[in-house]
Amino acid sequence: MKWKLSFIALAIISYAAHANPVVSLGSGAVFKAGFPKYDQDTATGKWTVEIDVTETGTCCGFFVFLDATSTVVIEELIITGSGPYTTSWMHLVVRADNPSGSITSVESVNYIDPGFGLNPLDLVLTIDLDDVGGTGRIGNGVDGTPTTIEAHRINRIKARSIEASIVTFAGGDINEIDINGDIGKTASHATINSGGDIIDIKAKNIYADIDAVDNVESIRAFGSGSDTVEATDGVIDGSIDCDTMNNGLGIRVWGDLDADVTVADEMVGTTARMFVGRELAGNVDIGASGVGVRGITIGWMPSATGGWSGDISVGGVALTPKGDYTQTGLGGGAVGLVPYGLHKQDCVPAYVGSTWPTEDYVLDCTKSPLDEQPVSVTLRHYGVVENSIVPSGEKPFEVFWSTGNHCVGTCIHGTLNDVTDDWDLVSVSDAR
Amino acid sequence: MKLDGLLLPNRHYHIVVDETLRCVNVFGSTVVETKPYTYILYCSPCP
Repeated sequence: MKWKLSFIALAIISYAAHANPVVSLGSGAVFKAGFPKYDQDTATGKWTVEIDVTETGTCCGFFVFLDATSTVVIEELIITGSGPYTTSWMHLVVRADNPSGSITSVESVNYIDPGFGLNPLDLVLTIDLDDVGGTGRIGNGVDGTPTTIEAHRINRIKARSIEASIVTFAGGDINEIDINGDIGKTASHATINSGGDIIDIKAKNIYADIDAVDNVESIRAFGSGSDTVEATDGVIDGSIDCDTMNNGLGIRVWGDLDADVTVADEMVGTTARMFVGRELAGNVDIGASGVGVRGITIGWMPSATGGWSGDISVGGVALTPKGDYTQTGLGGGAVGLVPYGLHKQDCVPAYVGSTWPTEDYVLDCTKSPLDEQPVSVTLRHYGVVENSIVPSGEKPFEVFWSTGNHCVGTCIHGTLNDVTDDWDLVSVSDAR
Repeated sequence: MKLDGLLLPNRHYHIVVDETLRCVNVFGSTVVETKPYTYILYCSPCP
């Protein structure tokens, strides 16, 4: 009995001193002989884990779990799998959402094809690191060595930060990337390449080059706020390229959109928009082969400055001139979404209000009260407008004058006199 | 849209744009909507 207790105590001490990653399998699969393999770098303390599994059960699919008995860093996770079915999958779940320890970082995940004569299993990946209390790092943020997280499909990556390349194979979607810190760094962008769709990416700031072969639904940067709490920071920098941007939220950033955005085809759906809280500095190019009804909103928050320095091209049409306006102006900064509001503050002369006598008068009148003075007026919509009654030659406007103030409230407005004949249409579409 | 006209002092002007000015959806579709509005101009009083 005493011998047995000593053995158990020794085993517990040995286990505690040798804290390590642990791989386990759900039903329907077995490890190949000699796997899993665990190798710890004696200099860095980081772990390399190799997994090779075979599906044995009823078709199709099984789970592989990676946990840890203490705080560990996974420097490299190498996985391969095969089975009797040509369309099966293995779902690798890295479970490290315990703030007291477990896996704090996953620096790379590499898929290895099982080789000739074997049916490879598609790798579906879920990594749930501690995104609040721990380091929860995806990629190698210490020595700067580029790392790759690759899989056929990504179900979810949840962490504190990403400093790596995220890649899915042809046709493989990225379902969710939920980062409670930043993706990439200002001087070192992350890359996210989806062989299919991207459903949802969100982080405080996104410094990344993002590419989806097919559709992007939602990419969000919430800064110091959240999905529902407004903030004035949060940046998306780098680039976003995709075929379509349909059926999701589109791009939403509380702060600046510095990234260049290219949507090769259409952008449709009842909520698919580009909302930019502050500055639009990136260039936006949206194709036109599909039917779309959405638009871009710059500076939609009351606190936004709404500067617009990037080039916007929609359907091959560059939207000019660029505006510099705020949410308080009529139109709200909507770009490319009908019906266009009139951007009064950007008109020439600018519309400045209607409360007498604080108007900024259009003309500094120094002539006789009877002298007529010519004026050119440019009304800006930031969208394509056209005269529906061309070529009849009729004007798409009427002009009236009245004496004194344009009344607001209870004052009595003077008689309106039609002087449309004294005004000429110079152009409709040239000066949007 | 750009237009030229004449202003007289001590008056204000309404430029009324109706449905004849159409907004064309630039996202590749043929969707067209209209949005009437009135733009107000002032000519300052003479000294």
